Amino acid sequence: MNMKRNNKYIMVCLLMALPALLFQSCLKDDEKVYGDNAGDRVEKFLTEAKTVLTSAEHGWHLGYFPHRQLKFGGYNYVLKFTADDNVTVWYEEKMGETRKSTYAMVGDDGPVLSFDTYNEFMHYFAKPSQGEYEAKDGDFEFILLKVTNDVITLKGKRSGNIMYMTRLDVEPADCLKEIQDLKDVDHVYGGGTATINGTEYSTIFDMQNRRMTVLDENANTLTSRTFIFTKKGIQLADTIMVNNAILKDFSFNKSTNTFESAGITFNLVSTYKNYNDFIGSYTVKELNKTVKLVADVNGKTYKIDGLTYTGTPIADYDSYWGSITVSPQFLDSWSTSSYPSVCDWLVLTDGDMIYWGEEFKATTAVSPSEKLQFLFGSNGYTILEYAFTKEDLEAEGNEALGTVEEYPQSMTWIKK
Amino acid sequence: MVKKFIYSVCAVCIVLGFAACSKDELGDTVISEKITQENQFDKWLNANYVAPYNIAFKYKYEEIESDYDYYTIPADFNQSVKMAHLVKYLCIEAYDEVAGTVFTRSYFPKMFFLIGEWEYRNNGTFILGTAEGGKKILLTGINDIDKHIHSAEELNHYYIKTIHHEFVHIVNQTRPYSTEFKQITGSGYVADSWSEEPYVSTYLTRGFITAYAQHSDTEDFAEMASEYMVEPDSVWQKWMDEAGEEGRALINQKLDIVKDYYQNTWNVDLDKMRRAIWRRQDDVMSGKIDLSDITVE
Repeated sequence: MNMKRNNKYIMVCLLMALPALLFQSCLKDDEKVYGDNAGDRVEKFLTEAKTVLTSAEHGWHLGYFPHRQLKFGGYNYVLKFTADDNVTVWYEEKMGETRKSTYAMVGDDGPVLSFDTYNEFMHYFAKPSQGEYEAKDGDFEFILLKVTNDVITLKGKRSGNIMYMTRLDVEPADCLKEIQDLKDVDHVYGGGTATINGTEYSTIFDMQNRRMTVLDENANTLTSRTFIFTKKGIQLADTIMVNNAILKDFSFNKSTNTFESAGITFNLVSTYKNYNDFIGSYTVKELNKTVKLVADVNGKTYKIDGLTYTGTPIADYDSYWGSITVSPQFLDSWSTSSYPSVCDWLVLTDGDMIYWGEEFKATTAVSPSEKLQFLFGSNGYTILEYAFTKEDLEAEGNEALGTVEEYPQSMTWIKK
Repeated sequence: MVKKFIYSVCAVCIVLGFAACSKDELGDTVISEKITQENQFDKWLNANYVAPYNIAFKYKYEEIESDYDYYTIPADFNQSVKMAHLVKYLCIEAYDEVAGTVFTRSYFPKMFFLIGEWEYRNNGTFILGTAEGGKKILLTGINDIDKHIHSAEELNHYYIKTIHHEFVHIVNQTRPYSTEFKQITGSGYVADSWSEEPYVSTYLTRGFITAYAQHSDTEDFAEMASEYMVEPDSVWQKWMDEAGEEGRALINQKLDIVKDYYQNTWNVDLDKMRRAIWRRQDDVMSGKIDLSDITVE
């Protein structure tokens, strides 16, 4: 066969096939899997979600959990949306008050509910400051994971925390009132005991820091979670397992002073202590040393002897909770060959950042036991000795030099 | 011959192929949808920012416009209204008055984005505002306006000077200033050390109008021009006294270049600008301007 002819033949065949190949893609109907394009679908979803949001006459209850490690526990909000982009916000910590601002349904990171102008309540946990540049790691933009008529599942854009909005069938103020009643009743009942599948455990319901802790027989923390107050009691940020019992929702019984969860009864005892109860010597287990709380003349504060590398820090008595707290404070200064002044500050840390504003506190939770003992740093803040070049940390030219002394994230103080 | 034929067939096929499929129109953007209704403030902004100047004044939070390096929160609605009036009266219309509306419309930044808090760094310092590529100005700390609104000095320090400062950068990026400027205190620029000792307390005697001016010549130029525009003469004279003979001479040399630049490049008399801004500040302080009014005529 002639090679040249053969080539030509193939070429002609190919050319004849070419139009068919090209036209083919246009001849059949382009059937789209979703019908509309992506933008239209997002818009439709957002419009429908907005209709659902604004349809709730009494608004929505939101169980709000700031912070990616859930450090602060949960807070109750009620939100009422209107079609003209306004939202009225109720917040459990400011009963009887509301704040109004705007919201938007946005399609960026998926369908998003954004509180897009400032609302003192809604942005409380997201508002940064000089001492807290990451704020409390709270969200004000939420990805809408699932929208039904009664429950909306949200995911905090910043924290990634999953939260729920539930359609209310009572007035917003009434919803929060039910929760408030419980908060008021048992604030002095911190400790408890429970028998879980045959074993007795000490528990701490730290109402101030919204944290529930289960201790083992050596008073070590077995497991610990923050919680939110509910109508019936409390709900942990997520499920915990203690001796094969799965716990999340606890209902409170006012007449018996007990929490109930998964058929297990948690007996509450008052762990409230008076100022004088704390005076004395303690063994700090984690540090293996003896520390003394010495009464100050004012009857409100203590000196802490033997804890820090230098200086004598002051602890405050908290009469509301019957416990003690420590805030950032200057300890002592000295000089070295390289620095004319090294100023040792007791600051607070959450393991990530350091905080020196006087509004920050490391709190304690008193546990129910024969000997007085308490957990130091129960709100996630632990103390740290840190050196600066100036005593006034806000002074111009102040430099951070570094850590003088570190302390465990949580310390158990047992009275001698 | 055959070859030519082959090519032309190919070409026709390709044209046909494309033509047949190009019927689909582009849909709306899928990047960012927003389901909102226009409110009265939006209408006011349309009438006072968009229509006359084509400026977007974004007071509602949009994550895409925010700086991911910082924890930020949205601006307060009512204080955003006040800010919109302040920017309009103290900046935009001041340029209209002295430099002409053509100048303002051509060069004034096309977008403002407001956030509620300052942008805090982890060392306790914070950012008052930034400009991006001459188009967008970020205004921070809007939720503190009510706290500072009764003092022209504070308003300037926290907000208004920032806008003038950023606008100086924009006009500089459009037409550069003389290289002579940076030679006057050429060895004095210390970059990020400007906030440290000894620079933070000796800038005037070293020939700089603010501590931040020591960062670089571009910041120096923006600080010189913006401070000169907003500071009352009494403050300026006080600084000149503190600067001493040497510092004052350096500052004045630089100020001359700044004034020349505005006069010769933009036909803007900086002293006239200054007086217009002062008069407008007085109007705001005396309550002559209703900062909350969002009625549209």
